[in-house]
Amino acid sequence: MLKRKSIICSLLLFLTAFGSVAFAAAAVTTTPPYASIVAYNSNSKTPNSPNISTIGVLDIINMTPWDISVGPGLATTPMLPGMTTVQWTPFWLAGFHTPNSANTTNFGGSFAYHSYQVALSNLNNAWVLKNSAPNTAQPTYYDTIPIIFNSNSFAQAANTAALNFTATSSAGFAGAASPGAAPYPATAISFGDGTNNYGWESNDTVAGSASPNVTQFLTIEGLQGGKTWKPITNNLGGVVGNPGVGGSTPGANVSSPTYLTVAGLVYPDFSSVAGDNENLDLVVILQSGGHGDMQLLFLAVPTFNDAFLPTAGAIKR
Amino acid sequence: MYFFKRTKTMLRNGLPYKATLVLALLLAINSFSGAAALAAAAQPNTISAQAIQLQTYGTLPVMIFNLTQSPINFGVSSDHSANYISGGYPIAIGLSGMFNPQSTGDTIAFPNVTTPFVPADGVVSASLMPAVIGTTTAGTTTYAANSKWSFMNVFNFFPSWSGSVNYGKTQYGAFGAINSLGATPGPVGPQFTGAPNVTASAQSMNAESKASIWMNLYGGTTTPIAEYTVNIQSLGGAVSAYQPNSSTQNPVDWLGVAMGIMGDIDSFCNPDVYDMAGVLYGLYNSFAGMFQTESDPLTTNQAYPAKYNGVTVSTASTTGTQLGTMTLVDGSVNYQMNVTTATTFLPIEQQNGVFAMTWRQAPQGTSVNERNSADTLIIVVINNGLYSSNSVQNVINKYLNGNSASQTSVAGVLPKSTKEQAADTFKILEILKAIAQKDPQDAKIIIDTFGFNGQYQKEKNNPAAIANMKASLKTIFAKHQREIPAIKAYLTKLEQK
Repeated sequence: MLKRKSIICSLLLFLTAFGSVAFAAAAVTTTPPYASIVAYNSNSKTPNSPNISTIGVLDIINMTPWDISVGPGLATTPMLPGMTTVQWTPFWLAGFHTPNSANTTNFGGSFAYHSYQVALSNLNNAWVLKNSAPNTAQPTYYDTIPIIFNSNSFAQAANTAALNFTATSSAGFAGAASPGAAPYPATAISFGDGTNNYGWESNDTVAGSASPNVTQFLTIEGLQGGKTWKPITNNLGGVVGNPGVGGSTPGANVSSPTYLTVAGLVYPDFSSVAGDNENLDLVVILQSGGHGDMQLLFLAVPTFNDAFLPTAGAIKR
Repeated sequence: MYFFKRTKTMLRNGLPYKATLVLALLLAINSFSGAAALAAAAQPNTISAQAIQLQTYGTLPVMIFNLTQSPINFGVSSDHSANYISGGYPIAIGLSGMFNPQSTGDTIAFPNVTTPFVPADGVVSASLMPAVIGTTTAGTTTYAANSKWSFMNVFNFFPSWSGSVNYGKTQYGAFGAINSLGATPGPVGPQFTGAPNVTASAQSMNAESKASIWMNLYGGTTTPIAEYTVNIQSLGGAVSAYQPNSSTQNPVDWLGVAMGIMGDIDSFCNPDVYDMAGVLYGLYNSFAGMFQTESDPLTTNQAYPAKYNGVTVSTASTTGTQLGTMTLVDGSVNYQMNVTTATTFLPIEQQNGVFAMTWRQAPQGTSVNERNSADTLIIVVINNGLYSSNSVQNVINKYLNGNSASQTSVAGVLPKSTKEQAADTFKILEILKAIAQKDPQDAKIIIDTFGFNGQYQKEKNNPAAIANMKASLKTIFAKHQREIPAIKAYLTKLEQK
């Protein structure tokens, strides 16, 4: 009896998860906020060696009380092919309150926090990801993984939020910032709130004519929840000596870009969506600090003490 | 909090979770049992260094627990605070909130996770409330049931941002349209025309650094009575060697200490026990997972290339007229146990141990499901008096009262404490504190015997040694029975054959 129930439940979960992907894609009706980092960059000045960071591993860490589904929900679907050294398939990370580890698809299943580590490959070359982007002058590849918060079934619902995690890779961006200037290896997308979008490009990574460049980005983009997701604009770095361009456009509340290697989104008071009434914000941070480690961090921060938002509560640091 | 309430509800409604609870407790006891077996084969300490291994790059998940009788305020600091301050980058993010170093390098004390809106003062609200609090009016020590989650915290620590990298001549401006995100990246290439050149920043870890987790112990006022510090070295800062594999015990021994105390708390609070069960089960699984998936001790592993130098528990000062220091009593490449020592008999509340353990796993070559990715730092502050009382309780109820109504573990080896037996731990703690007030030397004998690294911990499976310890304990109890009436019940048990 139990087995039969388990099979039925599994099928339902499978179907629900499969359906959620389509739902996720269809739910985007406006340009959502996003945040990106430069994960790796090499050029002719330092051929085949990184000048921002190496990528040895990608840590995905859930330190929230919410279960988080990572992947399209098809258990056999490898994710980010060409980026990893091993097959990496969808999984979910339990929230730290979850006491039950019986479900082996839950990486962790116990108190504290749960995490997953992806061993990456092709450190000195472009990741040849699954999809080739259209309308690009140079080879550009990408792959996207939907991430559903407060779900262990890969399904979106009224009490969940979602975002896309996208890896983009190119060998040889060649655009020039201005006529006659040397070609820049990359235009790094930085962040935007859906209306006001900003980016940068730097000749610190300028290419030589004979050597293709490798530039790889990681991006998170609000999906379900739309513009409830906010780019983190406080306490996460910025352009030195530049106040940013916030306010130049009606409705702009983006005052400065993030670090080139650290960026994040926040979903204020996600607790109210999840239904727990704990006044916790969902914070998602991408970082590539160097020395082989990169992180995709899922954090729960009390709204009362979340200085990522201009409206943080009474306790200030 | 909701997620704990949810756990509670799940546990109340689901038989599997009840089974889970029982299993968790039994596993905890088994862990304790394993510790005993290992402890019996203790070898002399050959500790020659102070550091343990830790990879700190990027992020460091930290779990911290207060299993003492005292409130603890904790915060973090960095000797490169300017790097955080200039960019406003946080040094810690977690259940208490988000924290930046101030100009001194320190953050404020983290608010308690159950009350993130209340500043921690060490009295009314502390970063970590004690797992056990004394209620002298009731004559017993009780568990802080109204704030049962207040003795723990979990946060992400960023200890290694020692520098920043500037990228000059960065052109920065608005995109007219950007559709290059999400499922379908769009065109990339020249986007800016005539945008000004500015300098953009990237965080980096380009120098040695030292970050710390400081813990202040409080004794009823807003002035701390002791301070413990866990230092985290990055990129070789300040420490020349890490701790060799010279431990006298297994780290499970020390975790068993913590589990034993929490097991007593769990039993004592029955039937309002469901939340604790989740923690116990989770803790055990976390720890068990760590030891089942062998920690990789080598930084020369190609898949684990980062430099490191590790963690030290550097200082523990006790303020006032009674000064104490922290002494390393056991450790390996993966953990340390430091205990407070002093030339005089410190108040029992100040006799604590700081257990610090790191755990890591090579990113490849494993097929297990549980994959903690970044190195983890676990810190448990344990009161030696509480641990001694737990040991005495085990002696009385296990060895001297074999007909007690204890439950039997799966292996049938050790009894699980009943609620009454667990309560004994806290009653014995009150007795121990009363003895300490009247005759500190007698209290010292008990703690030296039954406390950290004491004879009981090393010889708990040796009946002859247990008999000697029982005789010594009986002598001390008999000496104080008139002045401390609560002793009588336990003296009676001790006198039973």
